[in-house]
Amino acid sequence: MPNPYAPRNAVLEEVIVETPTIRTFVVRPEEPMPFRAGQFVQLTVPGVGEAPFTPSSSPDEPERLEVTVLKTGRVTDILHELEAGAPLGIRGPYGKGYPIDKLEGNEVLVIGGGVGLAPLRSLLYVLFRDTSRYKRIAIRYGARAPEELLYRRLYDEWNQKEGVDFDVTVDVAANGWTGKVGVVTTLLAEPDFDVENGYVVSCGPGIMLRFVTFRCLEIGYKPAHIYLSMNRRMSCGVGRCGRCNIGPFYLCKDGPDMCYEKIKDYPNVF
Amino acid sequence: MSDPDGVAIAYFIPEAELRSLLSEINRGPLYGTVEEEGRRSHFEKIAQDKIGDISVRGLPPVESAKAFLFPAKERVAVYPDTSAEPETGLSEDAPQIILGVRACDLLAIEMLDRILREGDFEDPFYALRRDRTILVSTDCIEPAATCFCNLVGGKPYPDGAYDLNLTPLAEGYLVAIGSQVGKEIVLERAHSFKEATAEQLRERDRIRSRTLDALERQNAEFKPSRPIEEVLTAANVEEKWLKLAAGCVECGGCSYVCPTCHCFVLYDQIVSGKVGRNERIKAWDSCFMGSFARMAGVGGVKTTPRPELANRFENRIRHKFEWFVDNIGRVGCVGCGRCSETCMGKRDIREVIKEIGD
Repeated sequence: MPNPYAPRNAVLEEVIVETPTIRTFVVRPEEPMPFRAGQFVQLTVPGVGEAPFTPSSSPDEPERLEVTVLKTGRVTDILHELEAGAPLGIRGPYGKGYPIDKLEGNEVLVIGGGVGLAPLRSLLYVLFRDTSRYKRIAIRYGARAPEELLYRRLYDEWNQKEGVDFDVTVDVAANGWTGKVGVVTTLLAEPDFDVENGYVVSCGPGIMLRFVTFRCLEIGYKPAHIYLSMNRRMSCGVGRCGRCNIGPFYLCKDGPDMCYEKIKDYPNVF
Repeated sequence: MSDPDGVAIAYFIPEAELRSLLSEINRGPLYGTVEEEGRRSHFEKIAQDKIGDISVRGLPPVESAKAFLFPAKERVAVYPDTSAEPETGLSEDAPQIILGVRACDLLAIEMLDRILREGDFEDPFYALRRDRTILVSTDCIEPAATCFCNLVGGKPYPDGAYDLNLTPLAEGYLVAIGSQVGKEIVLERAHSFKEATAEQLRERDRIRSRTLDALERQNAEFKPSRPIEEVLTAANVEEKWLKLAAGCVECGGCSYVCPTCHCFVLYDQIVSGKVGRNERIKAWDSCFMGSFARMAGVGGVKTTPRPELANRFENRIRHKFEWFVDNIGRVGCVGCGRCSETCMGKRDIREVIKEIGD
């Protein structure tokens, strides 16, 4: 009988420093771990504990997963101390992943906040396989400060793709920043989006998801077309331990990407 | 009266015969309810020479049978190089016997079966224990003052889900068979059993309706004006949660004693004395705790979706009485009343439901 709580061995292959507080950890599991974009894994720091992360790399590379992690707690503080070669544990993948089928043939608005761009990156890789299958891929991203911007090295590449446009803002300008200033919803101020048929997929801190959702509803998106990547505290990953629920749904099992229409009437969504 | 295999609907076994039968079939651990002077009955591990101490005639035991299938704390992995086979300490040919399980607790086990065994990932620890357990249930002949199974679709006597059920009569027990395992126990020791007489079956019916009447009487004042699963969806309680939580000190006791609460937390530690070997522990957790859903995060960020007691109280009550219905088709409360007995704030769950409905 398979044991869903036991981690499989993995090795930390490489550490990429993204920002002062965010690093990308390249993890090689003992066996390849095929996943769908948006599904998450439980990453174990041996003897310390585990935490859930959605890989930020492409599902086309199941033998080598990248997870981009903000240093912000018991497990991630120690993870940030680790160097290439360190042993790790991994289990998963869990959850349903992004609703790729629904996005096909439509405009996709991808909205990221802070380290929330990480899970969305694996979605972008799937969308980039063939951008002609979507009417348009609009990426909107915000971070607190210029030095907190994630994956800066990739923005030009994304922007140059056919049918893709990328825009970025920071809450507070500094360090010679000449770009836009303001929270991420300011990028939705003068929308030229197909709110009638298009889909929104967003990931970020709770407060950001809340304002993004309300702004998207305000400009005319349907609740059924808004998908939120809700990465809450999870322990089991398989819908049993109880902590990640919104109403009757368990984000680990039924999400972590939840259609807003499904959850909007339950308490404590954001 | 018998089924096609020649198995009667119930057998009679005298008190002394039951004890010797138990000692004969018991190969694994045996847990039974025992009573001490002035105290409610409770489950205890019963040594072979103490089988006479088991008593099933008193009030329902203070604890449910949950912990025998889902222990408060257990090791679920050792890593790196996890061994594949989950370990439960029970072997196939020496199952544990749990004697004295009440109808409410059987109903709870049926729900745990669905929650922990169905879906994409079976909990192998629960499943192995469940498959290596013989459940011997008993009718309640005297409900506790906090019992209210009759308000949540239950009865004070089991309706299946047992291997064997005992109805205590004046001179012995009526035994009903509920599974293949139960059938084998009875048929292999046919000399110990007599087919129940019509008079004994009538005595069983009398005992059962007497207990049910007692429950109806003691719970009449708590009966909500509409079916309990409709109370929450019909009521507008948004502003009332903090008031409803009055007295709650967030001890989590209600979750731990609840036979259907299944929330847990996994945590890791180094195996004592073995650097480089780590273990993962699965331990009961309670949704009342502020830390239950708290995420990592810096100050100023809302790190838990349910920061206030009122949020957590609403989550617990709606989960039990609304979201269980959505997910497995019945309320997640079996009316055992143990949460009311345990509550340090002296809150009776029947009053909470009544107040929501009013």
